[in-house]
Amino acid sequence: MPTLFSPRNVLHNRAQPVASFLVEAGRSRQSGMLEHPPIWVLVRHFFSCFFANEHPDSVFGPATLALQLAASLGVPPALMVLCLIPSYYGLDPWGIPRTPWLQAQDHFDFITYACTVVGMVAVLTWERFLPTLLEARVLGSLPIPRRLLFFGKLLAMALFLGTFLIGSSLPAAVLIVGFANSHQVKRHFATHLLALGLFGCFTATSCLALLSITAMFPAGVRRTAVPLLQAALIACLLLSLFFSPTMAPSLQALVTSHSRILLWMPAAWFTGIYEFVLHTTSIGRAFAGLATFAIAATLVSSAAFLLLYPLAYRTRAASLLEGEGTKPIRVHRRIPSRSTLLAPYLPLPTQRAAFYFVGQTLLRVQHFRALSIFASCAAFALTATIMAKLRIVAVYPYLRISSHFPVTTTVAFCLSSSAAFVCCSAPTLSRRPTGSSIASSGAGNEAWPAVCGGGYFSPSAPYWHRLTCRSPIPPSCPRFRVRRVCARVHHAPRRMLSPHRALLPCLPRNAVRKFRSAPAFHAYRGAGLHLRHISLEHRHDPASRSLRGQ
Amino acid sequence: MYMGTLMLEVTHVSKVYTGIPAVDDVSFQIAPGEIVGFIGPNGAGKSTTVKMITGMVQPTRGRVLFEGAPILDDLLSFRAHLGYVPEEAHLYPHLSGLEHLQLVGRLRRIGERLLLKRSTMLLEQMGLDSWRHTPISLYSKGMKQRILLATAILHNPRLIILDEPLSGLDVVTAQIFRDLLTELAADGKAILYISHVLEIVEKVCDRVLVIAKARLRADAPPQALCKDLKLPDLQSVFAALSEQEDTRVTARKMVEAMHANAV
Repeated sequence: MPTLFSPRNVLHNRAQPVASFLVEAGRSRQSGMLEHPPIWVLVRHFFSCFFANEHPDSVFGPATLALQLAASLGVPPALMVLCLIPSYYGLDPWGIPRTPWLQAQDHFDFITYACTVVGMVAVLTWERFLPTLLEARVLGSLPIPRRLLFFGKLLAMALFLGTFLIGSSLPAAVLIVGFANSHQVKRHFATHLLALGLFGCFTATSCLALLSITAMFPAGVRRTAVPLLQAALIACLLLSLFFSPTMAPSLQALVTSHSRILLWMPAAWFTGIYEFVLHTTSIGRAFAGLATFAIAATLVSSAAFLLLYPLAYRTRAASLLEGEGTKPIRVHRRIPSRSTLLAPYLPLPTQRAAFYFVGQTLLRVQHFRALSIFASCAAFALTATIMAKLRIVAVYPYLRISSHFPVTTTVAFCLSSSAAFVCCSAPTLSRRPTGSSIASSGAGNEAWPAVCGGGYFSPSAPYWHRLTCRSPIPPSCPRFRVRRVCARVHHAPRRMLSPHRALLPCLPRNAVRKFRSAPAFHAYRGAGLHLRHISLEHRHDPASRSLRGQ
Repeated sequence: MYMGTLMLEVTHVSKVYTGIPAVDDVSFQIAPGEIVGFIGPNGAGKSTTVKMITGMVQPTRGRVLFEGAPILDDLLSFRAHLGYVPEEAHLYPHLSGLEHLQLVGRLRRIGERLLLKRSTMLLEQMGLDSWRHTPISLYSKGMKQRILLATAILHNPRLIILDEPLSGLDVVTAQIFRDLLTELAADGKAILYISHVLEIVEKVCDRVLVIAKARLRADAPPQALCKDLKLPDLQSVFAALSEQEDTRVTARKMVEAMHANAV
């Protein structure tokens, strides 16, 4: 295909040897008209639909938006790498290079962050991964096989999630490989991408498989079940992100003691792949079991997704064209119960009007629902994290100052996110909630730095927190190691990993009894006891006791 | 009576949704060059019939034939010859008019050069040349309808189904559209025209199908219908066949409902 600046174009003897750039551009465009296969057209179309924005003053195309979002999401881990450089080169106050176990903690944080991003994007964009009404009506009457539509959607989904995965991890991968391990550049880079790719695949497929189940429910049940499941998934993802700086330092103790708690920490499984492929030493061998578990989990989640998603896709496509069976709503049973519930809490008519406005209008719009889910889950995860962290403060005074970081940065994030909603050129997830038009086209440009600022501050909060939480004692000092392991493992399960102790007094007695008798609570409690057992082993270890001066 | 190969044959087609018949035993044919009007009250089963003809929905009973062959045997080649203007303006709001035509044209495998030429010409003829790069979300209802019309005839189809194509169009564009229908029929296209504007149906269509309560009530030229039922115009015929209540009585009842007290 001859292009504008190809030798063939330049040397070709034309009838008009001197032409404007506009004319030349037109010529090259006409001569370069390629006919793309329909699958390519569909993938491009679906990909652009994920970033669809009907606002007139949107100046960015889907590819630009994807790059901007991915790049801004990649900044926090890149900042973390930059902060770790002195430590990697032994330039910090203690002058000791970062040990492989400490590097494993960094890898744990990187993959937790990237996969939280991918998981959240997958959960919040779920409705668009299924056939939409427009697709059914516009593309449904065209001569395209249904199979092609399905695979086009699937490929576009993979491309969309892959963009976020790579964007949120690539800058950190380049930097960490460049700074950490200069003699194993290719291997380290490939390992980083492999671990992240597998974890991204696991996170996205497991979230989407769970959401696919809801697509097969009746419409009434689905409307309730989908937001609840989305909320639960987002809360889990955010909790794993917020707790990762706290859990990462316990990684060595947990891995070497073959703790069962690791089976509840997906990030640890994929850190296992990372370390197993990267290191051929004893560290790599220690992670072998986790690596195997990670691969098995990825295969299972992928299989579940490949089984459930086509069913969900088919069910939704059929319901769009043929409608869903309607059942009579039991109006007489619902209205009295709702009014009874509302009467004591919302005595004024204006309050009830506001309640109905929110419940029946805002929460039924997918975009607003996604925003409210995101906000409530972020608040929940943050509250849980802060509660846990503030309880540690009482034990570890040196954490007191740094525990303000998550609070301040989250406030900064909320403020900047509210500014992002006026960004006309933003994608669906962060579009402004008011439908009013904004006359100045520069509003988007003003809001963009705010979005970036929020993006930089909020996800990097745990990393900053962790970096500033360091004890002045060098990390490789044996005394510190033992104290750290004992302290983390012994106190953390009781104080940090026991939010039920803080919550139970607030609950009624029956609820507490039910809660304590639930199987999940026993599993949770068992995990805590297991940790305490490890800590006791460390305590009674003669070497540890001698180091502690006992 | 048409003696050649019929373009479209709908034979004893029925569709049942959760036990409720949406279309019950409907049969009709359309020959090449014929414009057939399809009228009926809201919820009578017009859109369901159209969905079954386009292959979007499979009939519970009966079948649809295109040039003598069942459409479900080779749905893709049937759709390659089908132009369809849906009832509602379903268009991607973030695409421009030109981009929408290009998307549909590419998925119909029209060559890029031909596609660009046809899209440009159609947009010019529809008066949307200066709006070609503007997102569809900014278009008026009439402009969206023009884009739908352009999309339906972009690939030179042999069977055209138009579901309320005149909604939102101004007087001049509506007149252009009526002439376009005549031209298309003269070119040998078979046209199924669904509308509630009975004056235009009466003027343009060769035959009229009246559907009410899921069943086909009449299939005849408009003049013949008026003559057989001894009624002055198509509107009266429609009211008689669809067993409609006296409109003045209905209006009076609505006003009474408006003034009704709470107790």
